[in-house]
Amino acid sequence: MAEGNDRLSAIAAHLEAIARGDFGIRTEVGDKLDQVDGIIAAINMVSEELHAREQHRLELQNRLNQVERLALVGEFMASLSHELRAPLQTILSATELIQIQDLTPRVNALTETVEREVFRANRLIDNARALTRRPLHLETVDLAGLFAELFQFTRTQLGSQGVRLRVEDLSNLPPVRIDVDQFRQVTLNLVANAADAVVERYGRAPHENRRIEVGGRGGREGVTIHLRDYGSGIPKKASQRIFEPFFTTKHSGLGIGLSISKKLIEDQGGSLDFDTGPDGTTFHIALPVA
Amino acid sequence: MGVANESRRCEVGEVGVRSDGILEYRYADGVEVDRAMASEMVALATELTVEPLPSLVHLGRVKGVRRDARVFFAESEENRAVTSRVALLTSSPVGTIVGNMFLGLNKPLFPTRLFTSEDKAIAWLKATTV
Repeated sequence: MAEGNDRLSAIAAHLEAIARGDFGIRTEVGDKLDQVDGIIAAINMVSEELHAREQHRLELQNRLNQVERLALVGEFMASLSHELRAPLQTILSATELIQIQDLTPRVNALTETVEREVFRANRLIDNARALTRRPLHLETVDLAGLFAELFQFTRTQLGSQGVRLRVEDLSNLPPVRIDVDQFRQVTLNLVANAADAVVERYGRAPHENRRIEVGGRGGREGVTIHLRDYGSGIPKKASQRIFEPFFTTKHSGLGIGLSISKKLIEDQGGSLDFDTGPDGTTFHIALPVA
Repeated sequence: MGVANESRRCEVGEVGVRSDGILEYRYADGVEVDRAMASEMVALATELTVEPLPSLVHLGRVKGVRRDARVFFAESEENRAVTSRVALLTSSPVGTIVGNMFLGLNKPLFPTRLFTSEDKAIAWLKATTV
């Protein structure tokens, strides 16, 4: 009788737990395999099912939150881009006026840089605005060549922050099929984040680890680019949220760079993830081969 | 598994193929089947057949089947590769409840029925066997 009461007490406790919303609980099924054990087995299965459905609901809720945030990003970008276009156009017009003058080669080169960067800024605005509607322009691309061009200007910028950029020989990687503008945007975003991480760790102090490394591996299945910084890594709590729109650990910045980057890479059939630890963070960009 | 032509055994139980072309699964007493166990049993079946066969599953003294195992049985490619239809044979209240909940919650992708009579289970499997 005592055993029977124990089993009924266990069932009651289990049902109370379910009523509280605790679906992770399990009750041991006895060896008799009688009706009471059958009820216990059924309650265990119901608990598991409720637990699984609750997890699924939370995932959907999380996705919905992200979609709502991305919609906000879209609205924000539309407004911001409208505000930015005018000053950029003014800079461009002024640069063109300057170029009409008889300039030294050095000033000429500088105005060309200004012009190029204005075009780039415009493209970034286009990309950001078109997050949800811009069609992909997939091309077959040699990453070694693309990085050589891309990092030519980035190196100078990083140099002014005392950060070195080391790029492995990527000439053996197979060509990939990507949207070049979007990939460029993602890479520059990751490099900028990596530089911030290094500067935040070492300040102005010289150090051999004031560097960012870019490497890659690839084969028939795809290509993965690794971008490593030697910062302090991403705190565990933050690391679970860094791809959420508007989440940031920085004092400045909107916290949309990584969420946009992830979306852009995934739209191209790739993936973006990372490893992090006290000695830095490595982002992995997986891309489909051509 | 007296009529089994060939069988395979593991800690979780035994799988055999009978002379009439029915796969037969028997689980060890007191086992609560989880995903790993489910995979192990289906892997044994894969050693016995290269095509989907009607299956007789003795729930016997099984104490339960975990959700991920039920999903695996109901939907996985691995199980579909060896299973054309399933007769669940129960002899205890626990087996009956486990079987009924499997049918209700998991909706397997192949015809599945619960029996308390082995003869009726075999007859149903054979009636639909080519």
